[in-house]
Amino acid sequence: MLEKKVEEMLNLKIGWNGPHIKPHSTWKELASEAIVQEKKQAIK
Amino acid sequence: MSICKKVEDINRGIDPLVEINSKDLMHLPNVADSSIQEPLLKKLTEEQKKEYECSLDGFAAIGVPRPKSRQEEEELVRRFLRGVEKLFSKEDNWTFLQPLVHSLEYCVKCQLCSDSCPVYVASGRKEIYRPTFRPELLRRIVNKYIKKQGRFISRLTRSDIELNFTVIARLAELAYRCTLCRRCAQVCPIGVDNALISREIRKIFSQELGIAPREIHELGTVQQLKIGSTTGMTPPALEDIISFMEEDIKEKTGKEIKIPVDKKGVDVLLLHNAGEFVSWPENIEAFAIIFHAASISWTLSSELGGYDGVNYGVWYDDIQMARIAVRHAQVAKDLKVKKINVGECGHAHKAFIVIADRVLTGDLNIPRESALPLIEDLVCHEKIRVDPGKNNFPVTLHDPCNIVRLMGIVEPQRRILRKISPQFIEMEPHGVDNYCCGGGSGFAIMGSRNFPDWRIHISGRMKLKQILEAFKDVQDPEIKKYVCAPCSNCKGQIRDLINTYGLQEKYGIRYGGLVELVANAMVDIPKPFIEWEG
Repeated sequence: MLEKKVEEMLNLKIGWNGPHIKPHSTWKELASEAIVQEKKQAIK
Repeated sequence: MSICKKVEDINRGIDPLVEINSKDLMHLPNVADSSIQEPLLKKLTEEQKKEYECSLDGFAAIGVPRPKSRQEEEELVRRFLRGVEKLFSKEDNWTFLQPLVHSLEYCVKCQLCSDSCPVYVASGRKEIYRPTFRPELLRRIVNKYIKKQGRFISRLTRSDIELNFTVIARLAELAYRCTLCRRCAQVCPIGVDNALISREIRKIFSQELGIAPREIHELGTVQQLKIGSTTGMTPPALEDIISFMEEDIKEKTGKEIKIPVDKKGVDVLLLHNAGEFVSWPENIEAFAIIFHAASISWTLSSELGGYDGVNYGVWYDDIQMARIAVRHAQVAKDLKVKKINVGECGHAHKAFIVIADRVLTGDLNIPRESALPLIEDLVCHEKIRVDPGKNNFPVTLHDPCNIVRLMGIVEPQRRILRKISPQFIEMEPHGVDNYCCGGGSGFAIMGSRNFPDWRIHISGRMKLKQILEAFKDVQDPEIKKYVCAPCSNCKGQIRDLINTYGLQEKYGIRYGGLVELVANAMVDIPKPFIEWEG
């Protein structure tokens, strides 16, 4: 039951805009990325 | 002189808002003589002050760069507020929304938590370090800018706040003046978790603005996901280190013990903090010796990320936390192990055994346990033979916050010590009431600018006091003493405390993990496993 709920939440799209977060991805997609391409930058 | 008296002062253009002087710090116990020197706290250079906003307390953990124009500052404020909004949205923060809202809305500011905070007390009770200070700042920002509470009410309740770069940067730094030890949450009668709020504030900065300490982000989670470990250790380097450790085990024990790597279908995948491979290989060697003696079916992994059990995401960023947890679980799934045991690393316990429940489902939801009860079973049920006489020296135990207060693993390590260390002395307070080592939530690895001074002399001061008090009746440096810290980050912090204050030379105090003491007590090993020098 709980796992089903978690699964549901993992399919939500993430709205955060940090440079290490690919826009329009779900939590699940982001968590499973093989290699994370980082573009971390200081404030622009 | 402490200038900041109340939350409203956060807007004041004083630089720094609070000045930390060694004379204000909590008094240390009067041990032996006056040879514990009070520190001279390092100041930031003029160049650093120009580059980074450091007007909170004169220290810079993150080093938030100053905006170059008015327009840039306004954009930063807008982006920060977008982040705050997301923190309170179910879609963007389903992981921690409930405890965050509970903590923010129900705190009555009774201040019961203040005296439980080692940072607040050790600093000489500086207002900005009070556990309720940063949540109150966030609360005011939310009320004014998100809930759009009117100016009249804000003024009436004296809770107005004006957001600008200085306030935001001070809040960012403030989020890194809490070790997330959660001692405040434990004493709160209604379960308000102000440490959780510190972490949630860190998330706004990382997940929306891309601001996080370099050691935790670029050199931490990013490096771990890209090359396999936060230490920079690649899989081929791991192979070399393992060969070295096997040689070392042979030299110490006379036994040919093979450290199993990538063995499929075994019972246990053992996840270590990779810092052990680099700084304390004897910890990994001790696990190998104990498991070999008890015929445990186990393995390490050489897969990318599989040999570094750390998950720094748990300190500042849910997305990075999820990525690493999934990577760890994937490694275990591919190896078809029955369960994963986390070695002596506190935050890895929290991340993988507790928090990862939020992301690991289906076949990735592999049983995950602490290694401590397993070691307890081997020692206390005599699956390995020990002679406590081999550990006949004073030993005290540091309780890692995540293992003990968060997870309630209090007794296994004590039962082991009672069995193998006849001179075991408890620190006071201990167990779930323990104090953080001062290196929690990433501080132990954050070495930029003058932050290490803050970590050692302020957040670590309470632990220093506890260690000195634990050994107050055996101060003779000729009597060797051992601070047992079953957590890699805590060990790093305790090492720095011992070195900075010269505790090894003055009082014969050294430190190490728990399994090293077990290996030292093993009957089958003729030579002492613990090397006291070096």
